[in-house]
Amino acid sequence: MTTDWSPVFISMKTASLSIFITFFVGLFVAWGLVKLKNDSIKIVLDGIFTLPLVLPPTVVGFFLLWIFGVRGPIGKFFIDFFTVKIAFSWSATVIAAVVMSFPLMYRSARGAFEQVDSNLLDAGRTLGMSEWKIFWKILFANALPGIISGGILAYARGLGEFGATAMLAGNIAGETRTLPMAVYSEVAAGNMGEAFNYVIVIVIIAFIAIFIMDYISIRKEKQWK
Amino acid sequence: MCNKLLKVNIHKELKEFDLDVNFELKNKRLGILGPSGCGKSMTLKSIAGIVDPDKGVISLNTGDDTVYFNSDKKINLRPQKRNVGYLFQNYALFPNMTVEENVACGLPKDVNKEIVHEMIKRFHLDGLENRYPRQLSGGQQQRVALARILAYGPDVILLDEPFSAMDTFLKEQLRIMTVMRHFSSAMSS
Repeated sequence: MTTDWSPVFISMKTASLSIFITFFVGLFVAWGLVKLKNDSIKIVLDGIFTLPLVLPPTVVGFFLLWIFGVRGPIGKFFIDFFTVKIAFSWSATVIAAVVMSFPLMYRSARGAFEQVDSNLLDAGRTLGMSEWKIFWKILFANALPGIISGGILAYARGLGEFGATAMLAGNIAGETRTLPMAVYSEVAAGNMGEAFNYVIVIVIIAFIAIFIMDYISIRKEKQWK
Repeated sequence: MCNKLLKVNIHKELKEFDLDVNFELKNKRLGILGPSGCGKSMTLKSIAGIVDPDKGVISLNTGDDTVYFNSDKKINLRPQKRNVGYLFQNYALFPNMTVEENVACGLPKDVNKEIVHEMIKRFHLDGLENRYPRQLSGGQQQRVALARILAYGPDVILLDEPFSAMDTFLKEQLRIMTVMRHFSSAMSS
C-alpha cells in the first residue's frame, strides 16, 4: 500500500491560511486591547480571547460545532443564504485551527506591544506621525521579535490541531483529514509504518517553520545592536 | 517679527496632589524648576497633548489663535495637530531606525528631505547617519532627538530635563545650547 499524501497538502493549506488569518486578527485584537483604557472590559475580553488555550480542545470543538453546525446560528445562516455547509468541510479545519491558535498569537503580540516604551509612541505623535504609521513603524517594528515568536507558536499549534478539528471537521479522507488526523487513523488501523511517514513529514515542516522564523527575528535584533 | 504667545492655565488631579499651572509666555524661553515629582513633566506633556488635563485652557497664538485644549469648549487637539516638539527625558529615539530615519520620520513623504541633512550637519551628526541609536553615546542620542524635533519645524519646543546628563556631557550640552539659541533667533526673525 502506498502512502496517501493528501493529508500533507490539506495540512499545509490549512496551516498556511489559518496562520495568515490568526496573525493579522491576533495582531489587531492585541493592538485594540493595549489601547483600551477600561480595565474591567479589558479583563473580560482577555478572558474570552484566552479561553481556547485553557479549555480542552474537544470543548472548544463542541462550542464551534454549536455555532457553525448545521443548526448553529452561523452554520444555518451559511446554509440558508449560500447553501454552503461549514461543518465537516475543509473550511472547518481552518476555523478550528484559527480559533485554537489565536490565543497564542494574541497573547504574544500583546505582551510584545506592552514591552515597547510608550514614550516612543508619544514621540511619534508629537512628530505628527499618523496612528497607522505609528503602529507599523514603531509599535510593530519594535515588537517584531515577540510577534514572530507568537507567530511560530500559533503556526505550530494550527499545524498540530487535533481535538477541535475532529469535532468540527471530522476525519474525512482527502477532505478534512489533516496530518495529525492521518497519524491517528493509521495508528488506530494498526498501520504503524504509514503513521511513521506522516510523523516524519510533520516533524520536518515544524522544524523548517521554526528555523525560518527564528532566523528572521535573530537577524532583525542583531541589526539594531 | 512674528509674535508667539503661549497661554497655559490648567488643573489636573494627580494621585498625591492637584496640579495647578498658570502662565503666559511671549517669544521667550522659560525654565521650570522644581523637585522631582512636582509636575514638571506633567505640565509639558499637557502642552504637547500626551496627557489630558482635567480642565483649563492651553493655546498658542502665532498670528491666529490656535487652541490646543479648552475643557469648556471640549477642544482637545491631537498631539499630531499641535506642532509641538518634545524632547523626552530618555530621548525616545526609535531603536529600529537609523539616525537619518529618526530625523526624517516626522516629515511627510512629499517634503524636501534637504532639511534632514541640514539638521544632521548642524548637530554634528555627519558620519553617524546609518548608525542605530544603541550605537550612539548619550550626548549623541540627545542631539539626534533635537535634530529630529527641529527638522519637524515645531512652533514650540519643550525640553524635559535636558540637563539630566549634564555632568557627563557638559561640552555637548553647551554646544546644543548654542545651536538652540541660533534656532530661536531664526524662528523669531
